[in-house]
Amino acid sequence: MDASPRPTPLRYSAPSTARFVILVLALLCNGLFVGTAVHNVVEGDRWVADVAACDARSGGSDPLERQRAFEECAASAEQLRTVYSVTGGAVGLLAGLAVAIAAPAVIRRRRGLKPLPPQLDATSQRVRHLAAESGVRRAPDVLRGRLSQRDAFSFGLPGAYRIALPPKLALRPTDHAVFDPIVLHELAHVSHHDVALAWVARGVWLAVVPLACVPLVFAIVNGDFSIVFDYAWRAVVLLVVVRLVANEVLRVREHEADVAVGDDADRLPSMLALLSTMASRSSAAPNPGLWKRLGAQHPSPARRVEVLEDPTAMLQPTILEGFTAALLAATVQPLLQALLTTALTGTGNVGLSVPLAAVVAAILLGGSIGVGLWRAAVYGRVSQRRVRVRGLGIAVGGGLAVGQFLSFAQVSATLLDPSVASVVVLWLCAGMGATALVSGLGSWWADLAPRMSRARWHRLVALVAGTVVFALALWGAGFTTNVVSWGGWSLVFLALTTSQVGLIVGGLALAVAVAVPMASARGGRAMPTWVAMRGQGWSWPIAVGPGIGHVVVVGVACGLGGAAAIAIFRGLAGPAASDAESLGRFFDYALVAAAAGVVGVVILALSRGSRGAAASIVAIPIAATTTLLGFVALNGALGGFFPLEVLLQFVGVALTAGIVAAVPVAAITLLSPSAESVPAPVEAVGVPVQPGPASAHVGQPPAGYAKPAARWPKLVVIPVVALVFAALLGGSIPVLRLSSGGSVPLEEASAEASEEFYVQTVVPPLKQGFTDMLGSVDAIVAAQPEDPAIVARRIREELLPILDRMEVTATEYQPPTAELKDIHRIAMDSIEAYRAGYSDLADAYDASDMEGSRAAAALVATGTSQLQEWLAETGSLGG
Amino acid sequence: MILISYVGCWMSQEHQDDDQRLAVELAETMLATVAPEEVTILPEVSEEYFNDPEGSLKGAREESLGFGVELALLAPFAIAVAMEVVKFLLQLAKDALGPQVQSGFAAWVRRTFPGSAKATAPTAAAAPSSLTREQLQMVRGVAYAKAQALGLNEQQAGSLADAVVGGAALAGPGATSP
Repeated sequence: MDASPRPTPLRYSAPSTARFVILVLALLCNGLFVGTAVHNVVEGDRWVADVAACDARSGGSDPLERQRAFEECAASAEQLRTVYSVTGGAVGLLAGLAVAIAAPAVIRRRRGLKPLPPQLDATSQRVRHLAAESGVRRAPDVLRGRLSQRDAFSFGLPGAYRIALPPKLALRPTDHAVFDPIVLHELAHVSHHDVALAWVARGVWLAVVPLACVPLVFAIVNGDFSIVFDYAWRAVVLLVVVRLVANEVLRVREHEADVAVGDDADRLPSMLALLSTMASRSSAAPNPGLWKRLGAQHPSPARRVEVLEDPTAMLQPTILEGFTAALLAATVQPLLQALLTTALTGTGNVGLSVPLAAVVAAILLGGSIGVGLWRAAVYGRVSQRRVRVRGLGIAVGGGLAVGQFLSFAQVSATLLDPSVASVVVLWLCAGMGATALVSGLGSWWADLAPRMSRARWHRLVALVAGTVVFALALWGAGFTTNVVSWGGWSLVFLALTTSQVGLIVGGLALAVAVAVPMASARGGRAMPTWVAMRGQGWSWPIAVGPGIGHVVVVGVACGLGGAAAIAIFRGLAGPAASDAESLGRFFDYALVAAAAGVVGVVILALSRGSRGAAASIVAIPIAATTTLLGFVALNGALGGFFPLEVLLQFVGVALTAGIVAAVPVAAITLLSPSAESVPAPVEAVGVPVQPGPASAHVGQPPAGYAKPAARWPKLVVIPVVALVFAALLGGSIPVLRLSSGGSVPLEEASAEASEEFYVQTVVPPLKQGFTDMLGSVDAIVAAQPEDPAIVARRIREELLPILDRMEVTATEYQPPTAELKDIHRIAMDSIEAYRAGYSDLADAYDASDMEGSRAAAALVATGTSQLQEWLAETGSLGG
Repeated sequence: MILISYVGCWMSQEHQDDDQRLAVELAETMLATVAPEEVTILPEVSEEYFNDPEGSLKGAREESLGFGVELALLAPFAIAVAMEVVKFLLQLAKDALGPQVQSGFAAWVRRTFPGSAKATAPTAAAAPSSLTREQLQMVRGVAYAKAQALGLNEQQAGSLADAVVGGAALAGPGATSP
């Protein structure tokens, strides 16, 4: 008998459970959209009137105050919209549960299932016996099917599960080679709650299909065909994808049920024999096509044999799993964000909608892909099966990118809008990078497996770490997407110069999560009992490097590079011409510090694969801090001084930008040779050593294990000490001396810088918006449509969205000085006048209201005069 | 005219019932050899089979949360094969003795096949002389062809065909013994 350890991955967790949840949530989000669509039909006119009234009432010169007043006023209208949305989701859920509850009775009737006759009492007794052996507390009822039933299956509700046996099997309770494996497999389904999960998922799917038709019916009845195609293709694709994913998850659960039986050494041979027989019979059959394979609910018998012999064969998350999980999570995120935005309107916390939606979607990805990768990393150590990241990362990135288009939140959006198309690459990279980082973290924490007494603790860390990584990816990409849609990529750099506490906390938490195993994992510990049967006497293999010293060296080197870049720039460019330029340079230098950290990500990811990418999270703060110290030293040498809060601001900006950029940049890991190959010199040393006397190797490093060299950290100390010393010297001189013009009050410098910043960063996207708007007006006029309804529709579809985006962009900017507030107010008034004027004009066209159109034209004229005034004011700033 | 037609239908139904009973008996003979555990539920199987012959022989679709195995009873296939054999023998008897053969046909079959459940020992002993070796071979061929047409594999089809003719050592397609 084989004495090598047999991995027991079922003790860890089943990421497929999280994927069932994704399925249900994706379907329920369709319900949310349906609810919103119903609201728009039933309450749409009232909502528009309420919101317009609120917009008119909330005046004032302070944009923030105005926005707050608007939100408070519109809260009741938005809450009603929320109620409709939630009701749509709730209807889907309740209908799905109703289907799941009704399903057992329907199955029993349709399949003609009957209780076993008295002469088959032995069959019932054998099932009860096997249930007791398997630890199933309440043995399921046993039923017998019609002659056409040839397979056993389980169904029912929690507490009332049933196993339906085919007549042939019901006659053979003493045929232990066939009866026992099949019944034990079904009992495994019961005890893993597969029945409830599968039927809730199926029930919600069945319930959502008719629900999905509601918006189409409303649209057709109202004669509004604008969303029909946009909505219909998304609904069809979503339902098909969900169905295929459900089948795929069921195939995984079949593997898990087989392995559950095989975990009993006495049962394994009969299970293997039965599946091998099935495999030899099916090998003669022609290979099924792709569509049939995707639609199948069982893996091929040959694959089942492979997994049963080595359960780690089922642990690698597949490309299909990665793509579909990311796709569905990406469709969920914007809908949740929209729901949260309306729900939080008036509470002052609307800004939380982006991170909250990202976190929910990240939990789904962390629970499925994240936990799956960590589990594969841990159990792969037993079977030497490597975790493959490249294909999976591309699949996850692709899923996130395609999900941006598939989401119902994009109904009516212009998919070919360059700003939307350009962020697709960002989502692709965010998914690839996040996958690489999670995989790397999993490898690091696989080293720590012997420190965990139970699988559940490891799984918990996997869930949290995976969620944090994916949340950073989704939050960063979502945030950037919003900024790009408001003002293009140029606005992204402006957005990155604000500290985001949540991102920083998440990033630092991940750095700690990497540093812990990096600093404390040691080889030679005993194999954890939860990882494998027959693992006693075997030592736990750990992967090697990159060590903490290596990472610190890279971080410091990159930081020094950043500092050197600043020094060289300063040397070439000379002192700032103005204090405004000094302030602008301050933020640029913070971004240089972030870039230094990102360079560290690139170096470690390319040289050490996903482990290196994960380790580079530690390098980011090191690099940023080193650059800061270099900058402070340089400034000190020039006689400048930074108060603590300014230094913290520098670090905050550097970390925010560094972390936001690090996740998509980590995608470069997939280009690393070590990402796809077995890390031979690294992982190979972690091969389980052959058991001898337990004391001979337990507690000792495995053969080939080498502790990372500790020479580099010593070298690092030199520049770090030098920098700190220089920084302290610099900090002791209390003058800001970045420019050669002598010391200037910080406030004055700030005001000048703010004006320059306004002209360079805020004005261009707004000017572009006005240009687009006027271009759109020209296009509508040039078309000379005879039907006023067409004009009205084009104004609403083409012109007003531009003004909406401009308003968001303008509102986002917070003028720091009174002068800028006045100037920016003119721009906002102009946008508002244009928006109100063109909105009224569309209404007037619809109603053939000449008086209304004259009033609207007056508003548009007001907007034009305000635009001219604003252009003149900004021209004087620039001049 | 209507009365004649009604009586004809009634007689036809009666003959059909006879044929079905005979087929079940023949199936029981076959199962006793090939799948003895299925004999106990043959009455229920036959009832379900004659209610929906095609559905009984057709496998259901793939089951959610099933095992993925195909475990079909042999009983409905045995009945279907037996029905085919009965039809063949009836035709054989009609060709030999004329259309009046129907009334004594069942008794003749029971006498002819030694494994038949209703056969008595003396008639069974005399039975082989009722059909020539060539005719028995034809019966076996009919059974074998039907079994294969129903989708049974070579071994199962051969076993059923052998069981129909009492396991006689016959040469022919799919014979399991030389």
